[in-house]
Amino acid sequence: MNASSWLELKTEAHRQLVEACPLLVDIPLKRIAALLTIIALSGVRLSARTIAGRLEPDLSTRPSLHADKLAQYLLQGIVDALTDYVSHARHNVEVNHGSWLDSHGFTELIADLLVRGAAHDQLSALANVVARAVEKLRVRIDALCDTHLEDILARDLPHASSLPKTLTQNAEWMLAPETSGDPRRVMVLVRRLQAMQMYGALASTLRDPDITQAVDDGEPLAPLLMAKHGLTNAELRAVREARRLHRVIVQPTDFAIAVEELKAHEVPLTEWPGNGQPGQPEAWGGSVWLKMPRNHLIRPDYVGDQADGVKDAMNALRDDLLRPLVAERLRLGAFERIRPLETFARSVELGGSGGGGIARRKLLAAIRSAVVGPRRAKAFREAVARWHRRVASLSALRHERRARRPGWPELCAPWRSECGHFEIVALSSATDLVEEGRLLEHCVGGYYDICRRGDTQILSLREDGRRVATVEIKLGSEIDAPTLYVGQFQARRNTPPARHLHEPLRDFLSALRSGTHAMNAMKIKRYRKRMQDRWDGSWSVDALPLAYAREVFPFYLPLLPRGTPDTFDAWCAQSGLAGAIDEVLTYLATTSVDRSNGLIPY
Amino acid sequence: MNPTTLPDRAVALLRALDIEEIEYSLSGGGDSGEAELIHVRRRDGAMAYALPDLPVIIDDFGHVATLLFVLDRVVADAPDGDWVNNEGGHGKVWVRPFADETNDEEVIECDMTYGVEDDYDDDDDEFDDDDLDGEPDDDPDDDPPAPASPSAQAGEVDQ
Repeated sequence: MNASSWLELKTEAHRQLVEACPLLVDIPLKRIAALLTIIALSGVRLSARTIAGRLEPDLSTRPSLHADKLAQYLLQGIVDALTDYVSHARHNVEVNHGSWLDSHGFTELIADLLVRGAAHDQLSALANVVARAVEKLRVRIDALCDTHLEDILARDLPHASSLPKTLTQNAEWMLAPETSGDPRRVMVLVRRLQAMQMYGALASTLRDPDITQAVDDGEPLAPLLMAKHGLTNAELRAVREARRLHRVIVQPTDFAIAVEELKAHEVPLTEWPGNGQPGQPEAWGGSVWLKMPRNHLIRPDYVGDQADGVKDAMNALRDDLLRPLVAERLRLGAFERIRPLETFARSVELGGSGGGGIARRKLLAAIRSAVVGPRRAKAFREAVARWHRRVASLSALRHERRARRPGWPELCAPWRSECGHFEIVALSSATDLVEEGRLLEHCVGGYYDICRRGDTQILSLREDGRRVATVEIKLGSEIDAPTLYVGQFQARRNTPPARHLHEPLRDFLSALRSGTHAMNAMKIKRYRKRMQDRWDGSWSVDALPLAYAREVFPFYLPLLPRGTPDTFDAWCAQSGLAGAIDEVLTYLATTSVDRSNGLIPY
Repeated sequence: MNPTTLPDRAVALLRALDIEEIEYSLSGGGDSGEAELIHVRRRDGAMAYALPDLPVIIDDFGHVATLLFVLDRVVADAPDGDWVNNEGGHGKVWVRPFADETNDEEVIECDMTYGVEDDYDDDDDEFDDDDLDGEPDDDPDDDPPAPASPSAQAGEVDQ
């Protein structure tokens, strides 16, 4: 680039504009000063250097812009944009040169030139000259932002040098933008880095203003974090250096919720990721505690690789035993019918920050005592598998025994493969499901409710007349072939089906989708409509009666720990469930009234 | 005049072009709509059906927005009602740059008709029709069999 003077650049800008639209020679320079400045500035060499102890750059230009007020205004805008870019996470570059031109009467100028008789293509050419300058300047500023961020990170936070383009929240915190120009900045940067290296697992807590203040002041951090999360010394030690600094910087999440859940489930420290030892980032990174959502009635590490099975069991137990118990405790306690209580009565779960507080901890402890007992995860999952085989099917049969018209319309008539070896048969009653589950030793009986509602179809894949796998076909809101999709596809004992069984399933779906094998779409649609109007299944918004819980309790004995009493009432009393639920209800009733200064209506 | 809004800018240019009236047709529904330029009338009465490709604004990224582009947006935003989503609507919008607003004339005038949301609860009808076919096995519930009365044969269903 030639080192032209600022005046020469503006003269050249004027020449370009007049070349595009000759009538501009009649327009006073003052009227087109903004256009000239933008175009000239796009030809200026801009460079940014860091200033010791500050985030704002030292922006220099070649040539010098001297005392050109408009140009100085734009330069200050560029300085602000660069400073902003290195001070905030996920921040776009903010330069508003188009708006600035607007405010300097660009449209008025075009209208004026039109009135003076300018040709349309001349006005377009003029606009293009200006637009090219705006774009060129924008690209240059974007590049300056990236370079400035790299320079700042290299100087103040070298660990974040691999950050892609923009800051994360943690990187922003570690850069301490509010201390730019403050003599304490160097010390603050060191302290924040040390805090993140040590306790990056609780990064969001470190960013709390009060904790940040303590970090910056060099106060002892451990007591504050222990108080904030209700951790013991040993527990806090377990999360020390639990995350590599690089991940702390680049990832927006932390382990705070996982730690809350570990506390809520009262998991012994030796069973925390990394056995409760500090400096275990690999163990934490692969831990199920980071992957599972909140609100599990049992420890997520007890769910393991049988997520669906354990979830089914816990959902059934909640509907059959816990919800009737909650409804009964509500009745006995004569609680007001307020929304938080109603929500809890439906879900038997307590959410909220801090792991749900002491009430949730007690509830989870009671459920753990009642359902899991002293068993380890493996033993519990084996019990879940046993329960599935016995009870899920019984539940379906129990319901169908009560219905005068059992079953549901089958998806289609039996389908046979061209080779004649494979057959796919839609199952259309609880008896069918139970038989399939019994022969393949899996839990398809637990799908009774959704089949009965008309949301899903279960089909049996048979090879040479022998049952070899079970297919779940989920039905969309419209009953038509394109919306069908396969849910689960399981062979004996929920193992993956042999590869050669995928082919007939694909052929079957193709036959449905092409219409060569007819579906009972209308029949299912009518059925589903009827069930929506008057669902008679065991799923319901209302809790089942306590008598029902007492009746089905024996079916849950295979799931429950050794030594469980034979009756529902004894189980509730022995496990402390009733007392824990009462505490939760009281807690919800009290806090809801406190929060709202009145009852929350339905 | 100091144009500050998008309509102001468009109107400023239309005045400079000596255009007296522009008529747009709007039609939309579902989640899409079209604004179509119908005619352009100059103050001398000459009619045209297109607008010159004039620049109106330059955005912060250096893109030029033309008069037609800006007017499309201005006109689409002019109706008070939502003519694009749900039941939508249709109608016309006129832009009259020389309208005397102090004399109750409108620079931008809309004449729109909006769709009325129908009650598409036709499932019951469908159900009745299906029942006419008579498939008692489809009924999963425990209703007693309907008597073979004329009303039942005509598709009466239990409530």
